[in-house]
Amino acid sequence: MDKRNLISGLFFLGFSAFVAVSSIGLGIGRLTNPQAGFMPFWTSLLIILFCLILFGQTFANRSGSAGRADSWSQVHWHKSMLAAGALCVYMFLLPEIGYLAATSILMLALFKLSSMKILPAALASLLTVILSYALFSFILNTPLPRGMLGF
Amino acid sequence: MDALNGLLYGLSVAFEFHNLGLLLAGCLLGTLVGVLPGLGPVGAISILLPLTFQLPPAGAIIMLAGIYNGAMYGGSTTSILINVPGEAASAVTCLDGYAMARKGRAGTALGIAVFGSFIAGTVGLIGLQLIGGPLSVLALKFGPPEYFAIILMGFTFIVYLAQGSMIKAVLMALAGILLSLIGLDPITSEQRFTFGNIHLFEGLSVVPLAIGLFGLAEVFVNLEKTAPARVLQVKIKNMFPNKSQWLRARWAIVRGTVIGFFMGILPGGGPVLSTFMAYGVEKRVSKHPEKFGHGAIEGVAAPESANNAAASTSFIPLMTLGIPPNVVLAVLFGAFMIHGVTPGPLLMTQHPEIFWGVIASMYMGNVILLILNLPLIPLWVQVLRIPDKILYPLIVLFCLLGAYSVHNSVFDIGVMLLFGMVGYLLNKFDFEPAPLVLGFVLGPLFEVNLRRSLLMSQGSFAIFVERPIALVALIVCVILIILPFIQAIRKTSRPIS
Repeated sequence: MDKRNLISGLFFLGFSAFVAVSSIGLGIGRLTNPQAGFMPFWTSLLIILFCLILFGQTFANRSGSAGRADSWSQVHWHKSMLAAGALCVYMFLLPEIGYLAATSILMLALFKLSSMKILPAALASLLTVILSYALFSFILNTPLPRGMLGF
Repeated sequence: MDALNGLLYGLSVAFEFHNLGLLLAGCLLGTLVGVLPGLGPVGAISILLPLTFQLPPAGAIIMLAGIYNGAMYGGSTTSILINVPGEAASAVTCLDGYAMARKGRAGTALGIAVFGSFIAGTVGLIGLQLIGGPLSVLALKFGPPEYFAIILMGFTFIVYLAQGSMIKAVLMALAGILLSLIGLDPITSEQRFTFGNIHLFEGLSVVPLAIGLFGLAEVFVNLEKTAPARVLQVKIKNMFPNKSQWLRARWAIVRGTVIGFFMGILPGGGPVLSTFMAYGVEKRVSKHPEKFGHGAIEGVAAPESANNAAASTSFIPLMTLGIPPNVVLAVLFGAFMIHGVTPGPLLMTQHPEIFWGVIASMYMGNVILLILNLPLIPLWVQVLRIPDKILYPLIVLFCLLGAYSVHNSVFDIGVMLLFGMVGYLLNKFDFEPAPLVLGFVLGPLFEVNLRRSLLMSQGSFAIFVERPIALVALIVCVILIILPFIQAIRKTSRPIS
């Protein structure tokens, strides 16, 4: 049995149940006059229906794909999680300390995460940030966040 | 002005020195954008839009159209050489393009992609020039029931043609529809699922969503690999397909062109959907469907032809009806408006220099891209040979800037990050992100036309079978739903030999 189908199906069930309940609050209306909740309500009900079909299929193929869940153990997912974490921190830093400083820190973290040594990583991050700043800020006139440092 | 005189007039506009320069710049930038994973034509056009503010309208639109077409050509390079689509419309090309490259046929794959693109793009332009008018007259007769049925048919196709589980594809498309409903209700202007967040009032933007799902998620997936995705160390040779390869690919190019031609015109169709359809149809009609995914040349020729034909014909509804059929054209619609030009039925008479100038420049752009792409492929390959430890952080940076530049908003970076993680999980759980994006783009049209149809019919679904075009679309839906069951029954009832 492919456990991933059960996990994803449960997620979709919860998600669509939330949407269905919220849609009732918005007002579903009638077929003659559908309201704001009409589309989300029926869409979420369809999701629930297809989740049940997915569960049915998964239980029917109980012996079919037993080994698939092992794909999680064969990957080095900590790198992806660290990159995502770095981006989360970046999102909060960007408006506070501005594009140049925040992106330099982010790029240093990403280069380091890509197994680059500290000095080349620092140089590469500085270079890419300055070049991207020049390209987007001066040439493309994109107003990049300045932050408290003013740049 | 008839089509021939219009084209001649357009050529006189396109051959003006500054327009020619802008077209060349657009084609080069577009190809680069197409080659670089994570930064698609939507982001590129959005980022470069401010650059065109000082340009005359015709020049600005010519450059932006050049970027769009260039991205369609360039996207295949990345798909074929590193198995990462340069932009969404090249995602399908990965399946057989990369497999061909692994077998030492990268040159042939790149060559057939370029030639297919050129042929289909040119045919699409001929269509835009000759039958744009009559088609727009027909499309003007479409009401909400027709639009609803056609969009439903689009959904059915995407599910029918899904690579993996059909149930999962349906779930993805429905999730995409739900996500598209965030924001103000299009009819009552009531807030839906905004949680009081001002950034959500206009709904989620497709650009950060697509960059997250197709750009950032790819980086996350590749980061975890012990043996990272590399540009194949193959010699790019035999880019001119030989006779037998042409024979194998010719009908794929024709079918891809036809599918792309019509999908480009349909609202919500466009290059991305056309590639999935073209690939699926090619696989279905093939005598050797088992070869697809393992380096079938038809699997490259069909989607690459389809996306270029669709890219050309998607200008038909924009320039004749003022309706952007896909997100790239929606950005172009904004560019038109910024320059004080309203695209629509009056464009041809009020601004012939733009209407015909853009068409003529797209013809020229196709030739420029054909000439540029083949000799410059080694250069694009060098761009792709940047080591992963440099490439991935750079892709992330481009993704950040691409997402940010659309609305100059940090919130969009958050949306991109969220969908990057969603895309990563979808990959792990064997879900395809393409139906989600399709559902997201078509969702608002789907909802509005369903609700309007019900309002028109006073709640009766009979309206969908009373209108001939809607009825035909629904019949196609039913056939597509029934077909897999018939095939399954045939398989089980076939005696074991």
